[in-house]
Amino acid sequence: MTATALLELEGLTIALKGVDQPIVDNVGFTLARGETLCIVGESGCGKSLTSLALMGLLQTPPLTVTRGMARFAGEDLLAMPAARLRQIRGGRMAMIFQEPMTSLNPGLRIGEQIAESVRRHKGVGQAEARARALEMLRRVRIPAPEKRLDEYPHQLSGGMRQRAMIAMALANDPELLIADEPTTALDVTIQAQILKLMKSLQQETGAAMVLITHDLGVVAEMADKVAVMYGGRIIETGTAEQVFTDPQHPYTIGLMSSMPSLGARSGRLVTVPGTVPQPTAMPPGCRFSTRCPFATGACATVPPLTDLGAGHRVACAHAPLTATEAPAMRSTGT
Amino acid sequence: MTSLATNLATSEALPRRQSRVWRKFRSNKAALLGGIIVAFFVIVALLAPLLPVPGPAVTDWGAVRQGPSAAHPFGTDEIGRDVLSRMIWGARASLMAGVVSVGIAVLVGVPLGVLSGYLRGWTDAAISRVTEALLAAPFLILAIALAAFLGPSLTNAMIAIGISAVPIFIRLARGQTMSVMTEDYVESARAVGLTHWALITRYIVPNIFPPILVQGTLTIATAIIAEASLSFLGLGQQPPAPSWGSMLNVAKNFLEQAPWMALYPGAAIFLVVLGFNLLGDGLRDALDPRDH
Repeated sequence: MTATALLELEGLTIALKGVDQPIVDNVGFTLARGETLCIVGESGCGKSLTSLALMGLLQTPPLTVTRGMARFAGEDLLAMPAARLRQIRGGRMAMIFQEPMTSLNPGLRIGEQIAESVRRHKGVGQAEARARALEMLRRVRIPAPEKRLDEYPHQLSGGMRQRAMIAMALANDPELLIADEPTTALDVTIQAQILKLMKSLQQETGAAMVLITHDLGVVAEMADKVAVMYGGRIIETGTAEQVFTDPQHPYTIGLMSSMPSLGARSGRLVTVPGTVPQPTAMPPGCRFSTRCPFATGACATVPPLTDLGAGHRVACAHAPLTATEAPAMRSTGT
Repeated sequence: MTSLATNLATSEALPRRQSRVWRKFRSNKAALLGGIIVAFFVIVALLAPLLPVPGPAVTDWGAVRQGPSAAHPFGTDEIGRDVLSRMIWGARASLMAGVVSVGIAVLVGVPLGVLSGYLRGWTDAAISRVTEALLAAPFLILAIALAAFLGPSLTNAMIAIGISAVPIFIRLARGQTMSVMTEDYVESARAVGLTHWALITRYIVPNIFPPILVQGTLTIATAIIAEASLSFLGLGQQPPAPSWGSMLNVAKNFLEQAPWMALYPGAAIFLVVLGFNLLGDGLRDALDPRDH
């Protein structure tokens, strides 16, 4: 809770109609200007829902935010009226989506789509908004931006479309950028380019970024802070260094060891056994307990997110790991 | 024709897609035939005042119920009027009835359907219940009831047919809106903070347009039959103004003495309806996004 925090999310809880247990449970983090937080987890762990809730884009019904507060520069995003949220959304807070192929309106020229958002938030005229759109296309290093301005989405490649999406998101100088798996749909070489671009643009603008991903390589590349989510809860969070060098939660350890790397490897690649339970079938207590080889009776109660020092927090009955436990977990890879 | 004109305006905005659609349409012989038939009738109807035929209401008492001849290629009717001329002027009534009533149905139905699909909740419930109530009555029966209520005239027949066709477009627009709303680009437009108005006019309506164009074309065929039926029953075009439906009504009394009086209007209705159906099917295939 530093004084410079741009976004403070507290106790975000999201319920799905017909499911007893919340599907996002008590999620919170803080983010300072210029900082990048990576939210990591498997499909269905609630990372996308968390970001959609911040943007006010949850599909309600069936989803509802039952509890929580998201203080963004002094205002609660979760409690503000829809009209106020629309002013902030796209202006001071922007989002980049996962699917560049389908996230642009097929019937509108690229330039118009960027200009539309500029006109909406900056209150400028056609010509000025168009000039801004061109400037943004240049900044995201799209080749021949003058030409692209008047092209339709289907005339652009996936990488170029994602650049256009980034241009659109950054056109109004947002203070907070939420990127939901921005590179998942792109091939590997383009991924690296886009990440590099996002990083350099973030440094230029000083925007804070929430980056949602399941790719630990992306996390290592981008993150200042990491939050690992499982079953709708944050189970481990800390600086990127803390989480990568000293993972404490069995699930985090499993994730780290299941990451393929270059070079020789002894034995098979470690996997985390089982699959994420259905939201209707989440175990009481620690939600990872059904897949965790170290589960004990203590895991039947919800483990609190405990601070192990220096902001490294873990929700596990076993944490902090002792000198003997840690290597055992890492070698079995859970 | 209103819907076709609007389509030309929007498809201009989709250069590559348009040419692909056009290529597909052109290679479809049935669709092309439908287009030619429709174009033929439209041109004839538009040029009616310029064509070298007698006026549709001009009677020639010296030539009553005459078979086809050089002077009257399609023969004459029971009071000596030229059947060809009445056919040509009747095409105006039929096409106008088709286009205007579908225009009414689109202008009323599409906004209601989009609203219904966009807002959901009780707005959707209210609009949907009324739609279902209208759909419970068969299309033609509803049109006849409305036309009888409004009073017999071509204008009222067009209004009656238009209102009867509204539920078709409410349903279609509602369903299409709901499906477009789940598209990523609508979500990203919402993330940009666009107003409801911008979202509806720039993101939803242009993207639900193709199916509405197809349905509109097919409904024109239905509306033409409905107009002919109403005119046949005396609820549409009033004599002496010509209409294919009312021509058939008179002709049925002289089927044995003057079969041509029934043959030509009947064939014309058949052809125009076939033309619009082929055209509509062709457009549906050409605009089908699955093949892109």
